[in-house]
Amino acid sequence: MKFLKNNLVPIAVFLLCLLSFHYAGVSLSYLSSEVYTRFIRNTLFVLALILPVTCGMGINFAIVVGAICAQTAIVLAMDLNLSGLPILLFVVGVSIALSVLFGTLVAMLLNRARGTEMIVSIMIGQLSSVLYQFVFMVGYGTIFHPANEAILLDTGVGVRNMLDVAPLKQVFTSVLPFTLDGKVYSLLPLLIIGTFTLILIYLQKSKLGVLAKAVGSDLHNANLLGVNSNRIRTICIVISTIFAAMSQIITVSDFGTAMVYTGHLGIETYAAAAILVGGATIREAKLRNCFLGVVLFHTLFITSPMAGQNLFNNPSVGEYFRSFLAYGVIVIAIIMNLKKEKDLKLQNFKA
Amino acid sequence: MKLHAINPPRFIMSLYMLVLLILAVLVDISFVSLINDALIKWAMNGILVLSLIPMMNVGAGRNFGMSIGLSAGLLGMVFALNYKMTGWLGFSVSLLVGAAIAVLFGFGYSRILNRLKLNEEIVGTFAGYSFIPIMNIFYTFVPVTNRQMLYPIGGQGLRPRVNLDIYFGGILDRLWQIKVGEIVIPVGLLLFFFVIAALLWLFSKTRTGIIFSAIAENERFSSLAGLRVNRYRTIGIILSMVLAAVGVVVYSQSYGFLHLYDGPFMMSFPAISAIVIGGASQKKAAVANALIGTFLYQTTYLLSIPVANALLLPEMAEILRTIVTSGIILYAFIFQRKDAGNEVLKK
Repeated sequence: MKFLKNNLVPIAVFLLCLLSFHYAGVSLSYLSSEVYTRFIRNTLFVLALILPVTCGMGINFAIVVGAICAQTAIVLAMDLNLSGLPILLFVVGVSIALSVLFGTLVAMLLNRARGTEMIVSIMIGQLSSVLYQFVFMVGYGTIFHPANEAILLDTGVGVRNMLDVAPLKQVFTSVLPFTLDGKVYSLLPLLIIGTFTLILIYLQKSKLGVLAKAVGSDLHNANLLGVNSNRIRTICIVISTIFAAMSQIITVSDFGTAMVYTGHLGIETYAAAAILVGGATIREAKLRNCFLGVVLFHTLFITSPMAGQNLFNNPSVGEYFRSFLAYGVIVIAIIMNLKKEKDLKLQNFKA
Repeated sequence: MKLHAINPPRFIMSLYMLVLLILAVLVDISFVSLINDALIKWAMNGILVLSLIPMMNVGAGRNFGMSIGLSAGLLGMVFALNYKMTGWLGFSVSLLVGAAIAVLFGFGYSRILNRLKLNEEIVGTFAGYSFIPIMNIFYTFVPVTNRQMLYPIGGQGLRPRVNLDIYFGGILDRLWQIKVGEIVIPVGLLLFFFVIAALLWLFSKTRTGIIFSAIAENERFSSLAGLRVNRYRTIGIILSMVLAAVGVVVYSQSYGFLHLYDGPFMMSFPAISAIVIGGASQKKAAVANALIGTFLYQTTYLLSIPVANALLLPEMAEILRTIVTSGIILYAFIFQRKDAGNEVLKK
């Protein structure tokens, strides 16, 4: 009974997934291949959310900044006409460097906005997204002159919205290919995700992870004990931004085309919804919440439009339902979190 | 609060407007049509900005969940249009039905927000976002009989945009227009706007209005003094929702279209940005803040369109507007919370 109460959200979503899969009428191999694609594209975004939750900042919607850093690195790499191993190294190196820089800036802003980190991170995401669009839509061709003119629009100002990133895709598909449901997939993304999961586990066990937990559970006491909480929070946000950047690199190279202006939009909501669907709260997130959440949320994501088509003769109903779920689960998570805190206070009071 | 003190957002926006004005003079745009548009845009968006005031003053935060109130107004218009009500009848029925639904929605919304004090803004954002898909499902299945509102093929589901021209499009805009030279002053629209603003100002002087600011100042003390805090918060939230519903009806009649589905998705951010520009702080917003802020926000956007076009970068106007919107809201969160930070430290 207690298990049911503590895992209400994942169980409810699991039942919804079963229903949706039943009515969608798709084969299991189709579903697994689609879920695999979405799993490799989204898992790192979701893992990026763990550390900020641990150090009490709630869900970091500013992971968009990481995705933007990666997209910038990719556009620069295409501008320089790189290919083969150098392009991978260049993209990874530049996006990590940019993530450290911009992650620190994001953390500076979030440290000034204690108590409202979540909504501030949403606004930071929006602002950086438009600033990024501004640079590539207006700055390119007027202030910056790329070496590779092919990436510009025909008017000479602004980068094309769709950039072919075949060189990057080739690097990925050449490593350990395997076939699932008639399509060829590479194991490299899984390897990267595995590596970063291990890094995250190590970080959680390390001194940083322990301090982050201390800052997250009681900021005031942590400060009194001499923990530099701002520094810990900054490091957590920077790591989160780097994870998001890596995820965006995997996404773009898996897709084969970089959507320069729109590729980074919406990822934060889906990542947040996935981790919360997996049973995390805004105060506590574990690795299993991430993996479970990604699988559950994206199963529902894939099957719900088809289920809507079969049930109501209207595919948009399923789409509306899944966006309702994505946003609604965040509201539910905040409500449940507050309830839990109230119960805890009551218990402490009684004790 | 000193209204005349220059706060940074207003100063920056005024400066930005000055730069745009100089650029506009350089590219030689028509100032007559600009003034005409600015007057309409001011009143058209102004009521949405005014709708933020009751909630801010009762300490329930800026209304990021405005789309719930907007949906109520849209439903009012769907109701009026379904019975093919035109002219003043259609407009007033839309207002009344929209306001009635807004009371209902506002009551439900207040039940959520009263449990989540201090988290209103983040919850409001996502409550507003998640309300839109619910409304979309409703728009898809609502049994409407007026063929002009339905998709041409299939006959099920409302269109994303319904033209209001044959119903009540521009009805307030055209009321009592006064022409001074080439400048057209939409007296009816402005009067409607100012009457609502005046009523809100009067409301802030009533007993309830004063209790509102006491609750915003110190909620615990007010509750110890015997005020029923949640009751007043509910009143404030419902009032905000009703004004948002009224605002969207006025907005739609100026816009000329009933914009359903994802129409209200991003409407709360510009309104919040406008009131911050006007100098409102998180718990204290005056009518004058809304009036000044809306005028600055909308006029700079209007000015930036011809300037961007003249520079052959038409996308720039929208990008600049979004930069202003999110930048100003970010400013409000980061720099206006100093006193709130002290409160936490004192505990």
